[in-house]
Amino acid sequence: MKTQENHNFRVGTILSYILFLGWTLLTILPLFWMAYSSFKSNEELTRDIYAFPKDLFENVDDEYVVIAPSLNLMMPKEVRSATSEYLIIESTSIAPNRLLMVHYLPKKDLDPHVAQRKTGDKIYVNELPRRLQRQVNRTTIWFNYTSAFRRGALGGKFLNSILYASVSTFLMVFFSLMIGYAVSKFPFKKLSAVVMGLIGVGYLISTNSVIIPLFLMLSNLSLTDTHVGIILVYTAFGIPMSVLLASQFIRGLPDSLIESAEIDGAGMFRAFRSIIIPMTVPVIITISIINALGIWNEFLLVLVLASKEITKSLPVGVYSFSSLTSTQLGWQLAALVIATLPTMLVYFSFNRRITRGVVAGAVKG
Amino acid sequence: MKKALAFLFVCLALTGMAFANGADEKGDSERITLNVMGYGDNSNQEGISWRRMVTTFQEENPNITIVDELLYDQAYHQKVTARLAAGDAPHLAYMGADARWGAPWKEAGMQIDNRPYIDTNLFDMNLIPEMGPNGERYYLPIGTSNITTVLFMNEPLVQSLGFAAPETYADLVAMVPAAKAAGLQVVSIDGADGWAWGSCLLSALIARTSGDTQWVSKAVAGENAFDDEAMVKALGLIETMVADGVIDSKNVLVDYGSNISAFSNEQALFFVQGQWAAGGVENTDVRNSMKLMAWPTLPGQKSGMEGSVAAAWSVGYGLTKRAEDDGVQEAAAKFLAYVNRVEESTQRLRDGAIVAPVNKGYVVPDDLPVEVAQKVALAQSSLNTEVIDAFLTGPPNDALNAGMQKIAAGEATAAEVAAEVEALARQ
Repeated sequence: MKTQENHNFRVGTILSYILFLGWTLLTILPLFWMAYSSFKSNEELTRDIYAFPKDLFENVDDEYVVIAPSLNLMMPKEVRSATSEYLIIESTSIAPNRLLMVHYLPKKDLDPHVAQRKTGDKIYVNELPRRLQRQVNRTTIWFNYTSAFRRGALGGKFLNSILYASVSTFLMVFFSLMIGYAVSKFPFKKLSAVVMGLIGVGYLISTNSVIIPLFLMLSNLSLTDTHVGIILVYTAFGIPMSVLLASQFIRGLPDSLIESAEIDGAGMFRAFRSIIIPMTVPVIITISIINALGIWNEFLLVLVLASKEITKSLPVGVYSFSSLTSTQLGWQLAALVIATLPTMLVYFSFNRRITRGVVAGAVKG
Repeated sequence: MKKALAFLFVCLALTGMAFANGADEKGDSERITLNVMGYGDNSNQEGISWRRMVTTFQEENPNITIVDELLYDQAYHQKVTARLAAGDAPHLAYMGADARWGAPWKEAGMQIDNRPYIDTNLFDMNLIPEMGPNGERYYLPIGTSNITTVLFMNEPLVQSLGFAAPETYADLVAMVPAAKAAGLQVVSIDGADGWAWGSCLLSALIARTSGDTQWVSKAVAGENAFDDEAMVKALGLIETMVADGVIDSKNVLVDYGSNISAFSNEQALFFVQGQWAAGGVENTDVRNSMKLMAWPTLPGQKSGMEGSVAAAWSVGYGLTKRAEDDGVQEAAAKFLAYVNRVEESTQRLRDGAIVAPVNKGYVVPDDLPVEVAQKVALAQSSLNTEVIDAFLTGPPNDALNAGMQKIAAGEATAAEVAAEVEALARQ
């Protein structure tokens, strides 16, 4: 009998390990593929989508061709003002003929026989002085990342994402705790029921169904295309679920704590600040994680509500590399890594605290 | 720690408020802010050119600030709808005048006659179609007609199997056994994209089976019915192509990029798409040796339709009704001319975005890439017919596109799909 139980236990353990291992691989492998593929050229990705990167790293013998200034060549200002002093070269293997992998080499730094090359002449990286070789090498390896950052203006969008996620989450936590405290602990049962009913209705409203009316409303308030407008919308959409979580959690806190504070002379706000907030840290973490991640990845609202580059966030930036006729898959993957990395860093840095917070929030809530 | 965290949050909140107004559009009285909607993305040629044009135009015109929004495909269409619904139309935008590209602008009353803003010294009005009842031009097209039903052939691959360019459908069928034996598809199509069936295949077939270059617009107007024999025959050709192995039924799972990749990687003898896809073939050997052609003669084809291709008006940029202020109109017209100047048209021609420019007296460069030269030749030699979704929109068009996917997958018959579209079109 015992042998049979041990056998069942072993089988169960093996099955659960297989399941968890499979799940882990299912989660990690796409991220791993995305990370290494972001260092592949578009040509490599088209040739073999699963192969490890090679072209961008092994570039010492790369062939380039000397090109003349042309319309679609966005030259740096210093080059534009003195094109004759530079040798403009384009890769023949990475995005050839697309004027994307281009280097501007000061002629004064080149050997005379190299500096004299004319348009159409071939030139190899190993013919360049060491310093320029290193420069070309570095630029080639980081081609996808620098292109994604520069062409997608991802720096500003990155800051916007941080702004939207942090400020909206802060406001959501703050307001939902206040509402949760009021509906759970204040002696207005009927009013609380009405408020919770309204909050519940808010929870049922999907973003897609109200996006046009929302856009109209914000337009009337002159809030479209503003950071405040977007933050307010995110806050409003996040509050229902946050209030439900917060009110459930606060309801579980003993009334005696608040009564004791009142006996000691604490007012409503003091009790909120000194009793409620410190005791609701687990649910604050839960609300923050769920909402901040949601806002970080949110696409549709910011696509519709933000028209200027200055107000757009990272998901829109990433999307701007993903059209049907996109010619550079590597840029898209680099943009995805840039968007994914912060969330992964936050998770790995605060892994234990987040797990504790979520578990505590779930148990108490 | 908690205090520091609270301080951080407060700082962020304050920063948020400080950032609140986004970009301030108010400038000094001499500065003009032009609100523009462009079409493209950050890694396709249209988008890359757009960014450059905006930058250089502003450098050359320091009194004009361009506030632009660059979107592509569905994101663009969704945003246009939202902005027009909210009364937030741009001064200048990428648009068309047909059912797909022009309807939102027309419904919002944002179309205006652009003739006063199109410099006839620079642009050939004879190459710009009349778009309204009084000869209005609601925008300046980036090029002449846009062929949507091109059959791209990998000629060396076809020849390696012992065949030549097909002249009839039977020639295509004859290639099936050899192609299958070599593990190749005969004709690849991005069947997962509903629009590809309509724009890039059926638009060619319906003209051939009906013998009428304007069959679609007449059907939309009620002069023809979508369940007429011509349409049932045209849809039936899809059934036939799948049954004969010319098109693999698995193509209903293939998206736009995979379709071009399959051709580029020499996994298909032919692929179907619009002329704009020519520049998307990454493999330079394939791109330089491929042939752009019309569908060969098809079974049940009416006489006089040999070599016909479906073509729509090119889209382009146009001033909208919101550009009311004289200064804004002047700046918008200046930018309109800038994005369509000869240099840009040549660039578009080289990028494969257009077939021919509308610039007056334009001389086609003699060093064009092979595939572009072929496009020009195809446009010059072929009979143009109507593109379905330039006239048919909404539920009937959706049902037609989905219906063709069902036909290819063996889940519906041509007659069933035709009847469903007709019923929806008359509602």
